[in-house]
Amino acid sequence: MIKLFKFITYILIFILIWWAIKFLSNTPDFILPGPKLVIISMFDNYYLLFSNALITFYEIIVGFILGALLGLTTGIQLIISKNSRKLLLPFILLTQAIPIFALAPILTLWLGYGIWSKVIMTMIIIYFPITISFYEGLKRIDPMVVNLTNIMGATKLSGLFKVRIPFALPQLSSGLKLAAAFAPMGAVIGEWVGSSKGLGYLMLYASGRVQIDLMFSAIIVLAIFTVILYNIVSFITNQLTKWDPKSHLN
Amino acid sequence: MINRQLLSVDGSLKIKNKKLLDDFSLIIEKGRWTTILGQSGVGKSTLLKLIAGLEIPGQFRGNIKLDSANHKIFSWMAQNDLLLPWLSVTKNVCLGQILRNEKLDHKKAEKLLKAVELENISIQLPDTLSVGMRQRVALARTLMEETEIVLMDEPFSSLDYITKSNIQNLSRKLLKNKTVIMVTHDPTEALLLSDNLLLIENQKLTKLELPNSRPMRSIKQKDFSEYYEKTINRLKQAYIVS
Repeated sequence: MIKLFKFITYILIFILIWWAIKFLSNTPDFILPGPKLVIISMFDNYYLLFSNALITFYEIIVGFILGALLGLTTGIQLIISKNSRKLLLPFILLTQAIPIFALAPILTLWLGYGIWSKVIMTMIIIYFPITISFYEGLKRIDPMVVNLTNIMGATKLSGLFKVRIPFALPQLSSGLKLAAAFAPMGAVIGEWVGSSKGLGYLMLYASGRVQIDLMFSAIIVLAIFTVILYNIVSFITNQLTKWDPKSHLN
Repeated sequence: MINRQLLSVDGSLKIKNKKLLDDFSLIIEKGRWTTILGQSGVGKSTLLKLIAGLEIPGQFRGNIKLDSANHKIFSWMAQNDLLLPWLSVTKNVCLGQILRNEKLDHKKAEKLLKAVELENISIQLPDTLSVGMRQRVALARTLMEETEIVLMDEPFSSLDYITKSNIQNLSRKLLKNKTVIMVTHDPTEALLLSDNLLLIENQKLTKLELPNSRPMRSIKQKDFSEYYEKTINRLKQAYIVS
């Protein structure tokens, strides 16, 4: 209840600041529409926003799940094989060295205007934080714990799944939360470069027709979805790391 | 009385180019508490790891002979309790069974927790326990394994005096007639717990003298100070030589 109250308070403060900037700077509506105009636009264009948002959300969720699975698999591969570390670590760094904006047209060219170019973009964006956070978590286990489990007769598999992975969960949860915040960026950039649907496309469409209120509406819908996704991921990871007081600092 | 020889280790042990133990011989008798005493960095823990078959940061040339038909040979108790923070106390005690995908024997775990004077904390997480309680859970986990040999790597060194004394008494009671190899730098605990006492000096393992009625019952025992002095002097000599 307190959390909901806090959340509503933050939104009201945000709207108030937005309104104050608009009012005090006397900026015209085609540059910065006021909160009232955007809220009206959201109601007027609810179907347009909803239908495009569904596509973007779908791309984000599929990209997030696949990217997380790929990141988790890579993290495990990195910890169990020295050769994989030598081969994969430079490649993982490379995925971050190339600007995502440069990759977007290539992916669109290869995978077309459908959802898959956006899904892959989302995967590329979240792959790095998830892989590296998980790998770092897997590395940080106390070597004495490994010795103890080896003496107790742990197999490689039981040692990994019953000891090493649980130890890595607090760090993995940080990576997953970062990924939840970044994932929408991948899908939207993909839509900007080449699509005929989605919130990214709607933003460009509205901008081209100077419907700035609609553009702001699309941004707000995307922001709300990002906050919801982040909170869902936080809730799940908090459940998994209940035992770790450092993961639950207020 | 000489008990049956259970384990023997002989050879040389070095880390990089530094010899830790040269042409040494260690014989472990069944049912005896053997303590290896020495200052920090002389290779006590490395020797213990070597015995356990763990990876060591050096080279060993020699033989390790074990005379046992038991398939569970070693259990380990370390300086830190090494409890897994996401597992309840009972599950931590049953860790070996969890790792080997065996059926958990909760009854036995409860019995051992009672033996280490911990009751009604089965479902609690380790974070809610004091350092002393955690180390007692670690002792119960060690006993749960029912192995041929218990290896202890300075298991009481992180505890305060009173807690240390309580857990030492408990360990002495619960590990009676079991084969224990403990490494420590504390001569008091070595005298109070050991049937055999070995000192690492001059890259060799030397047997130290203990009274006939060993292990000693308490520091109040009349000959304790005499043996304590002797042990301290040998430790000091070993330190000067090194």
